[in-house]
Amino acid sequence: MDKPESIPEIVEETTPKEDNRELPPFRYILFPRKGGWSTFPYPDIAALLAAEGEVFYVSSQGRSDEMPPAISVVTLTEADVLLQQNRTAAVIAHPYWLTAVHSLHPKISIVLLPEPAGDEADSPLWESCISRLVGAADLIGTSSETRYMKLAFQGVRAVWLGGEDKAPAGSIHKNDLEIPLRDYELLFLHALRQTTAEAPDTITPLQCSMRADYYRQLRSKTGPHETISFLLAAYEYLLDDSRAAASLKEAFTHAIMNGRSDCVHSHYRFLSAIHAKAGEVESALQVYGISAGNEQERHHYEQLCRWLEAGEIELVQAELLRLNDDYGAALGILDALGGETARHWKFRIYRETGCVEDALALVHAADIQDRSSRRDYQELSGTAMALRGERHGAVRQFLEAAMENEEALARIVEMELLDHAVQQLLGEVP
Amino acid sequence: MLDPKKRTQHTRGLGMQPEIRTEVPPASTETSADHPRDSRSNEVKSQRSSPAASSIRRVRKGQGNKLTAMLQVRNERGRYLEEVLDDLSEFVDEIVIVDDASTDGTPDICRSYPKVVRLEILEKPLFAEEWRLRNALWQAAVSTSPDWLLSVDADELYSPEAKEAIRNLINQEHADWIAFRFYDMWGGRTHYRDDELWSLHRGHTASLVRYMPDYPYFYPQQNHHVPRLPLSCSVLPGIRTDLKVQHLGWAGSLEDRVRKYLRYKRIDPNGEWGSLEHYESILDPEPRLVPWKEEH
Repeated sequence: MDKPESIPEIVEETTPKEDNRELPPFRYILFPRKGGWSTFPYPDIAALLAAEGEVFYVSSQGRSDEMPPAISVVTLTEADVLLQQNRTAAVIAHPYWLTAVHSLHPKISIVLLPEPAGDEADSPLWESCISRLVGAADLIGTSSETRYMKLAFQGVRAVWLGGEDKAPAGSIHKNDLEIPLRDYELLFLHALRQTTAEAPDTITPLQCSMRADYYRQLRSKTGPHETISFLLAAYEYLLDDSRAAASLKEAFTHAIMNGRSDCVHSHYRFLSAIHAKAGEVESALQVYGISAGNEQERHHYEQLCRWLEAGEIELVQAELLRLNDDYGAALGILDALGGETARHWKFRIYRETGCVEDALALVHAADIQDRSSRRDYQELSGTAMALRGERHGAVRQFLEAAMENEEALARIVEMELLDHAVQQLLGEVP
Repeated sequence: MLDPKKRTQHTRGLGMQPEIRTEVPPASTETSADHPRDSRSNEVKSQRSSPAASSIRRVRKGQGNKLTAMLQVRNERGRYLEEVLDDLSEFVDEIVIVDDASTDGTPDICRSYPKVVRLEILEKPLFAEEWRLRNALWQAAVSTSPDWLLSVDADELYSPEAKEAIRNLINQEHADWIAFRFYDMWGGRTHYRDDELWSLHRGHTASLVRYMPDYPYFYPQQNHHVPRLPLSCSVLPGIRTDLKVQHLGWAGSLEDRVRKYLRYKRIDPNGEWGSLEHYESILDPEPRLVPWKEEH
């Protein structure tokens, strides 16, 4: 059996540019969900932040009794002032803070994604705000393993805030007090320190490795299983482990035996990503072709065949990775490839993954010559302006885009909805 | 070869994503508007990591598909095998047969048909481990590089309409299996049996499947009542037709049916693989029979 990965000892993360020991502690500004402290989704992470530095909680209401004494309540205006200072990070715990927080231009943006409450998940605003939050975040924590895996595929710095092992994996000291930490808390702490020190991410692959170990052990206990084997394959894939293909085929076989009629798309197609990542582009393309379930996909398969025949191996490889949501690996290939086509494809990935500013930075004047492109550009510009807090500019862009397509007006409505949502998050309105 | 100046000028707009809905020109066309390289670029440096690849095999073909019939046979002399092979020779391109250790010279019958391109003769019978037998047939068939495989039993006859339609059914790129209506002909070829336990014709049976070499095909590892096509075909898209197939397994004499009844009872006395009620119904003295009509 493989040796399980272990979490490294807690040491300060430093970069050659910076020596953290000479610097004051970070300030963390918490942007919570509505309902007061009792609804804060990750109180354990807040405690961790309090052990690392000063923590402020943004609310228009006074502090509640249950709030830990180490946390101070500040208004949104006070938070704005704090975020202008160095070594201050925004910690966003609800997606509807999106524009309100980004317009304050935090130097470091940490997102603690909550599980949706009530009918939140039904709103299209929920996922679109999460997408853009993630697109601009420096570190993301989530209690959903599905979400975590999606983030890992996206190539962002993420920590899954969950786990089966409840035993302490380490501890930190604060005011002569030893605070035990669970494994995911320890991982988050390392990720936090790497983020603030601008150090390379070693925690996402470490946690992926720990999850792969967990599912490998589970599989050895339960035997092959469509979900367990699939999750194992996904983590093995993220780790470039050559066992991913065998795990995936096992998952697919069991999905068939369990009568999952959609498993060609849900399971088998992922084999195309595994082959593509391993550089077996033609095999990857054939798997994609088999899984092409509608006219549009079959046409795209034909197109990819012709590109491959024309020798465009890296482009086909990047596209197959993108089709499997591995935006991170696809971007890596396109970055290395360079050139005009890669620029266009990177633009699409940035737009799909909510990286609005990155997408906008790739647009050249020659790209927006026709009306349709100009309208798209105006909408994208408006979205970027809204995030920067340039409201008038954003509204102007959306209105101009609406001259071509009234759907752009929805962006203005979205801005108003988020304004109202922030009032709720601050506790100003029910 | 990829000089962008030779290409048609075009604007894809802001997104400029690969145009999924647009037609793709042939790979050899250098004035492609849909080529992934953007036409407005003046870059001439090669983005390739290797010379142009040769033609990529497509997983589905809309024309020119090779149709191969595959049969497992055992002691078929004096039954329907010759009629079935005559019939198949009319409309398939090739035939692959696995003989399950026949003792009556069945392989000699098979060899006499020119379209039989592969005949594998098992020394020891596998009928008690049906999935192994199915798998042996599948492996033999796919080794001949078919595009489509028609799984036929040695007592099944495709209707004239089915035979006529089969090329159109396989020369398409959206469905990977085709299902037919199978009729259990009873005590002759003028009637088929139709009651609760004998209702195969009311549903569809997939017997024709596209072969895609990269796809994992597998049969459930069971000894009896193994489906004629690999289980993994069931999750691919398919077509259900009303085209008819006559199953002659029960079309013989009462003596034949009694022999088959006794064989089922011997192989599966507790109804582990099939229904005991179904087995008993073989001897029903007054089965409900419906006259056979060729046209549908």
